[in-house]
This record gives sequence, C-alpha cells and structure tokens, in this order.
Amino acid sequence: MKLRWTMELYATGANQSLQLHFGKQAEIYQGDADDLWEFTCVFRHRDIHTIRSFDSHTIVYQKRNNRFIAKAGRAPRGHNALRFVDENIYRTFAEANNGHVAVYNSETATITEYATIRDLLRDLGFHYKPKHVLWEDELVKEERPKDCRPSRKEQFACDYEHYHAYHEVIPRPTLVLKVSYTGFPDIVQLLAHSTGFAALSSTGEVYTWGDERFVGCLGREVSDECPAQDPSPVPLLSQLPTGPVRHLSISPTSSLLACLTAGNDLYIWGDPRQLPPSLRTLFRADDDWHDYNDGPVPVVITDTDGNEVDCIVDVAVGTEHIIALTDQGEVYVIGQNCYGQLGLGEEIKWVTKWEKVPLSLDDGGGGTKKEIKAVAAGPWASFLIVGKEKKRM
Amino acid sequence: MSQAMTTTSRSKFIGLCLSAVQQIIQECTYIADDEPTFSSSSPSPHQNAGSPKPPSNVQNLGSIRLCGLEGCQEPLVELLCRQASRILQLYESGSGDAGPSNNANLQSGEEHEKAISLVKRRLELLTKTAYGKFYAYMYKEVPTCWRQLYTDAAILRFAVLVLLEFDFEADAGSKEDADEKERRMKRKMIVDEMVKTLDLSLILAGAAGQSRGRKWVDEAFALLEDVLGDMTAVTPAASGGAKTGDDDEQEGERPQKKRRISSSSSTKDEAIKGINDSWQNAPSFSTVEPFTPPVKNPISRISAESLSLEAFQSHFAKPRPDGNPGPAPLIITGLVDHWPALTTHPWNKPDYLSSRTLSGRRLVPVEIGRSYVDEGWGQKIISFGEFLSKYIDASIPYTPSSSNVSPFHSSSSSAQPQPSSSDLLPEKDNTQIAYLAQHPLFLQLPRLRQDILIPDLCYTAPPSHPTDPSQDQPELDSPQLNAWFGPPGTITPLHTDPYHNLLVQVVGRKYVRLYGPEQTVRMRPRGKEGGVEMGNTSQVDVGVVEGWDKLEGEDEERVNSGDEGGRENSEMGWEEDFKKVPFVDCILEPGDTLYIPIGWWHYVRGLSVSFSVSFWWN
Repeated sequence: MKLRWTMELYATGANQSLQLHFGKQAEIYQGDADDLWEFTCVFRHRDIHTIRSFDSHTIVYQKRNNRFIAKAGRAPRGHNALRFVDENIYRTFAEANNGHVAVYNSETATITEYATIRDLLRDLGFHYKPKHVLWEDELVKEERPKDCRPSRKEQFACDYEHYHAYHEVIPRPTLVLKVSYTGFPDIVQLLAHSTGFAALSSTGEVYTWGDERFVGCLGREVSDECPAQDPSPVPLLSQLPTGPVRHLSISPTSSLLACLTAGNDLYIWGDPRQLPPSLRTLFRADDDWHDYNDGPVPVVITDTDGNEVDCIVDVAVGTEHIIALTDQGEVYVIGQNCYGQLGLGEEIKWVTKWEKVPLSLDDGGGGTKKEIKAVAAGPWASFLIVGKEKKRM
Repeated sequence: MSQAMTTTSRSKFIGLCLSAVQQIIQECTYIADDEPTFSSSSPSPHQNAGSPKPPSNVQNLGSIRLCGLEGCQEPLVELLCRQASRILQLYESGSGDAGPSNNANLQSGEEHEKAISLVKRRLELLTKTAYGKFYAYMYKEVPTCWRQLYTDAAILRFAVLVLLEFDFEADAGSKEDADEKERRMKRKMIVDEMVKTLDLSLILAGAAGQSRGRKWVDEAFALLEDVLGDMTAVTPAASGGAKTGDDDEQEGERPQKKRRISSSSSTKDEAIKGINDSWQNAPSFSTVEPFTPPVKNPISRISAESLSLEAFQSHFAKPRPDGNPGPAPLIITGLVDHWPALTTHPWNKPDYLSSRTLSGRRLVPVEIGRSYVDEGWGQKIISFGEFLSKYIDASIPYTPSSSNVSPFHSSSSSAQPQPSSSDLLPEKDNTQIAYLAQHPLFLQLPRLRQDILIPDLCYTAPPSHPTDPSQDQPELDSPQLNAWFGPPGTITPLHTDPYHNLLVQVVGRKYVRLYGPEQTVRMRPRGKEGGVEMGNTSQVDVGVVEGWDKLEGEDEERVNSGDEGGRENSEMGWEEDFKKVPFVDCILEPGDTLYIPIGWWHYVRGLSVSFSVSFWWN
C-alpha cells in the first residue's frame, strides 16, 4: 500500500484583512469578515511547509524548493515590492516592529540591517517610489535638528506606562540606513522581535541585537565588547542541559522570544513590561515579574492533571500569545484570546496557564489519520500545519 | 429655550462625529492602494505607475492634509476606512428612515449589536498596532502616521459611542424605576468610555493629525460637556430631588456651574462671573506640612513691581556674587497675583478643579513612587477624580467608575475584566505617592490653560548655557508649559533642564534647592541607564544626604538611590564632599515665581498639597 500525504492548514484568530481566507476574497467580502475563534481548515495543498503570517497577510510556502504557493489578505506595498524584486529575500527577511529590516546572505556570511524596507529595496536597486508625491516631499523636508538630549520623562518613556508628550517631538531620521555584520557563515534562522533581531546558527548559537532599552529581549549582558546593537551570542543558551538550540520562534510585534533545544525543552526570554499579564507569569511564577532576570528561563507546560508535558516539538509566538506542539500531537496555548488567536472560542478572553486546545481534526471515518506537523503564529493568529494520511486503494 | 439648546449642542455633537467619520473615509480612500481590495495574487503594485488623482471633492477641502496616515501600511489604512464606512452605514440603518432599505439584515437588534462590537474590535486592533509602534521606535522617532492612526481610531471609537451607543434621551423620562437606573448606569459607563478614549489619544498619541487631531478632540470634549450639562439641566426638578441613591447618575457638575452657555470665550466670562461666589465657600486643599526642611541659603526675592522686563533682561548679565558665569536664581513675588488660578478660578479648591475636568472624569498621567530614580517608580493613567481623592486628599469623594484604565479599549461586551497595562505597577500599599509631574496638562485641558498667563518675563532673551553649549536647544516658538501637582512629599530628584525656567507656585508650598552649573561634576551625574542617557540627573538623593528621608528598607536589596551602589561605596567620602558644595534654597509660597537659570541643578520637594506651573523658554 502506498501512502500519500495531503496537507491542511488550520487557522484561528484575527481576520481583519481576510488574511485567514485563502478562497476567492472579493466574493465573501461584505463589510468585515469576523475573526476565527476556533481552529478551522482554511487551505489544503499537497505540500505545506512554512507559514509567514504578517499584520494583514499570510503567505504559504511548500517544502519543495521553498516555493510560494498561496497568499491571503492584503500585503503592504513594501512587501509586494520586495516579493516582486526578490522572492528569496522576501521569504527569509525579518522586519521588526520599529521598521528595521534584516536579511542574511550565506554566501558572504553577512547579516545586513536596514532602517526600513525601503532602504532594503533601494539597496537591491529598486526605487520604491511612494504613490503620492506629497509624502515624498514631506520626507525630504524633515529636518535633522542637532542631537538633543531627551528629557527625563522621555528617558522613562520606554518604561512602564508608555505615554509621551508628543507635542514637542520633531521627526528625526537618525537611523543608519544600512549596517552589515560579517562572520556569520551558518545562520539558519533570522527573525525579528519588536525592537531588534535574533539569529540561530546551525551549531545552535543564538545571536541577539537591538534596542538597548529593552535589554530583556537580548537575553544577554550589554557591554562595550557586546553592544546592544551588534549581533552577539547569548551565553546562557549555549550550555543548556538538553543540548543546543535547534529552533527559534519570535514575533516581530512581540517582546517575548522563545527557542527549543535539541532535547525539546522550551526556553523564553524578553521584556515582561511589554507583555500582557497573562504572559508575564511565564517569567516568574510568583507573579513578581519585576525582578525578572535578563536571561532565558525554562518554561514547563503542565497538563490539566498537573503533569509535566515533555517534548515540545514546535512553538510559535504571536504578539500576545504562544502556541506549542508536543510530541503527542497536542497543542497548548497561553496568552490573550481577544481575536481568537488561541482557538478556544469566543468566551475565553485569555488564559494565564497553558491550556490544551480541544481539536477534532479527523473528519469522521474514512480511515484518515491526521497529524499536526507544525504550528505557526501571526501577530494575532495561530496556525496548524496538518498532514493527512490517506490510504490509496 | 433649554430644549432648543439641547438640540443644538446635541446635533452639533453628532455633526462633529459624522464629519470626522466622513473625512476619514475621504482621506483613506485617497491613500488606499488602487489595487483592488483583497485581490489575492499579483505582487506587482509598482507596475501601475499612474497614481490616481485626488478625488475631486478633496480639492474643495483646501487645507486638509491628505497624507497624515500615509506612512502606515496600506492594509491598516484600508481597515480604518472600512470601519468608518461601517459606522456610517450602521448609523444610517440605526436611525431608521435615513438608512437605505437594503439593510434589512441589520434591522435585528442582535445583528446590529454584533456589527458594532466587530467595529470596536477592529478599532481596538488598530489602536494596539499603533500603540505597539510607540515603544518599538525610539521616542523621538515614532513616525507621526502611527500617532495619527491611533488618534483616528480613537476618534472613530468615540464616534461609535456617540452615534451608535449613547442614549441621548436617557433623562427624558423622570421615572425612577430599575430600567431607568440601568439606563443611567449604562450611559455613565459610555460617557466614561468616551472620555477615556479621547484622553488616551491626547496622552498617548498627542492627538496627532492635521485635519482632526487635537483640535477635533478639544472640540469634542467641549461639546460633550455641553451635552452632559444640557441633559442634566432638562431633568425635571422633581426627579432631581428624588435622586438620592449613591449609584445614581452624578451626571453633570454641580448645578451652578454645569451650564456652559457657549464655548465661545466672549460669553464665558459672564458664565464665570455667576459662579465666582460659590468657590469662596468651597473647601480648599489641606495646607498640612508633614515635614518642613530648613532654608539655609535663601534666594533673594524681588517684587514683580520693581522688576521690569528690562530689569529682568539685565539680571541675565548681572554677575553672580560668587563670580561664577551665568545669571543667579531669583524669586519674583507678586508676579501672578492677577491670575484667575489664584483668584476667581481658585486652583486650591478641589471642587473647581473637578468642574474643569468633567467632574473629575478626565484622565491624567501620574508618576507613582517617591522619586523617579527610585526602584518601583512607575507611571499610571488615572482619572483626575481618583487622583484627587486617592492621592491628594482622602476627604474628596470619588466613586471609581472605570478604575482600571488600560491603554487599550477593553471591549465593553466582555464579561471578564481585561487585564490591562495599568497592572504594571505593583500595588504594594496605598500609601504610595502620586505626582502629576511634567505633564503638558494645559494642552490637554485648554480650560485650565485660561486660568494662567504666560509671564512677560518669558519674552526676554536669556543667555545660553554658561558652561556646556551642547545643552542648548533649538529656540522654542513659545514657552513650554508643564503642570506639577501632587501631595506633600513629592520629590523631583536633583537634575538640570536644558531651558530657563520660571516655576510658578499656585497652590501650597514647595522647597527648592539649587546648585550652580559649574558644580556639575560634583553633582555625580548618572550615566547611561537601561539604554537611556541619564546624565542630567544626579546620583545624589538630597533628602537622604540631609537626613530628611530614610532609605526605604534597611536591607541591601531595597537600595533606593544610586549613591548606595557597590561602585560608589568604594569612593568613600563623596557625601562629605557633596555637603560642602555651595547651594541656594528657598520655600516657594503660593504666588511666588522662581527663576531657575539654564543648567542649574535643582531638587524640588512638595511640602504641602502643591500645584506649580513651569514655563520653559530660551
């Protein structure tokens, strides 16, 4: 008997730009489509391998040749342009919430960071022209006032409640347009968190860099030798009991970073100040997350009976939630459910303890057996990549 | 008469919201891509080179800036636009006759409710997305478009509340049955939500936007006040007397001041005159001072009458007694005696401040904790009423309505309370000090701004920084105003500002100590802390050095100020050295104005309930 795998994509969460709808979009568009509150099959294909879910669109790649197979929702102009210019770069580029963009070139062993996606396009020789000339004028007109010291209030603006006195703010494009870091020959993952990036090498070394104000996201000390803005290794992640890091999961809109070790242990680090209370407890069980240490901490998932769940084979991070897959094929979630991203139904607003998602993927009878291959997350959505074992007569 | 007025302010209110909704649709449609909405493929937007002309009606809008949102990603602009269209559609279908007949599917109340909650959820998503950008970027680099997106989403949310949810007729029936009570409660909740929505856009996003923005928000607040005032005004007296329950609607302000005849300033004075007398009998803030530090080297005082503009200008050039460069600090008395804030609109009366903040409903950002360099210090957004009663004077009554203010709008339909970012502060005890500090309160509450005047002295040309030219800032267009309002014991640690400062004491007393700019090295400036430059703040806690304050907790874990850190311990004797640094000090009385020249290190300590206004200029 020959086995053939068919794959399905299940999704739940925010659907404000129809990014969970892979069908003919114009037809169902009436006002706004509602969010999905439970995992729902949204797409089927022979081969589904990678999901890239952005603010308002989702892209599906297959394993074979990493080929693009489907897109749902609306992509911003910069994304459309980059996809057109270089599909390969688009598949792997990382874009942080502060607009910074990073790409990796394995031939030159170089990570290059750009201030914006426009700078990346420009570097690729593509003049990304904004649609409306007025905007361009405005950009040109922006002045660069001399370096002024932030007021005391501003210095704390990144702490605690983030309110700002904006009336005094002048736009100040001080960013370097492009910075390159060489000497990274074997990067296998390059991902963005809200204020910076993290990269994983094939040997399990994790490098982090980004905004020093959110040092928790770096998971390491900041010093003259290892400044915040340069990719530097996270020492605590190179000597974990269950082996080197094999997988990173980070959301460009979140301040929580997660990784899995070779032995399938889950570690997280980040800046709890930027997280909803439902996720802060991950950093400190006793709720006193104010004393969080700036290093990765192990995360233990317990089932309803209080037993420890071993072997987390995949994990994905959204803006305010995490989804994890165990080797038993069970899906656990934690965090906010305001748009259905946990797939627990509309009544649940959030969960502060890991909750197993009740799933019924098998479509009754027929002898088909389904297996969750991987999980993925968008900012406000979760995905399951499901393999279907079909007996061929 | 009042009926007519009610209709006018109400229709103005509704008109304001409708016009904002329409404006947003117009602007967003222009920005939105011409790629057909939701086409699922073809990643080649750049190929259609021809950019669309602005819609013809846009030309008529003249000065309207079309591009405020253009830095935001197009799908988000479209999303905003769709919500605006949806609100219009729901408003039209809800108001019956005006709606097109094809909205039959929306007629059922449940569908209508569901549609409204979806719009709100979408607007919340926009708000969250924009809010995420606020801290992802460096403070000065947050692109304006994100602040406008936040503001426009807030404006739309406000429009949802006004156009689709607020029951303008709630007071028409004078029956005091359970139904009526529930309606009142609901209306009160909606009003609180309206205030929260707009105040957060002012506080968090600076109400950015050319065609709406702060101007729109200010107008909306003014009209909201009118509408609320009118609604209580038309309540029959009989029913007013029957109102005794404490959960009852505390709708407007007290009767004598609830009616703002018009928002135009010409008639305002009349309205104000009528209420002057009432303030005299209203209770004032307590003047109790738990601790009064001694003044050792008093700053010289001069009466405003004997200080002409020219005399003040020449003071800048006058050498300091100790021969160091730059002008000396100076206390000017009687400079602000004529301010309404000290006379007809007394800021020392809680009732008056309450009346200027929609009965204490308006939200303000406050700092929680003794001093901003302390461990556990944080910032919080609370209602002015809560601030007054919880932190300033416990005798001021306040019934918390929406105690948990989150930067996000919690969905009103949710049964569970939303966890919010205001949980960020550990509520260790309720004896914490809260300080409304360095907040541009007068931009947020223009009506309080009318109670003060910019002193003429700010129109002088002061010298630049005496020792460090890098401190000098680009010239300000107009003086920068900040409010400093707090209970006894607030502390602003020793620091310098890059501007000249007139610190006007309006209510209560404050102790101020000043060290000259030439002493900067001995002030033990901080370095970079947590990625932010703290060089303008000293490591020294003056209160601790002087023995006025004890460090919280004796154990090493609860170190309160940087001067106790391990590094500093190795440099014994700095404290003795610091004590030898010459300084001047003073206690500011109500009506006093302290001139703090640029670069002077100052330590400020509230002695009683204290309200000051600072004017920065250069």
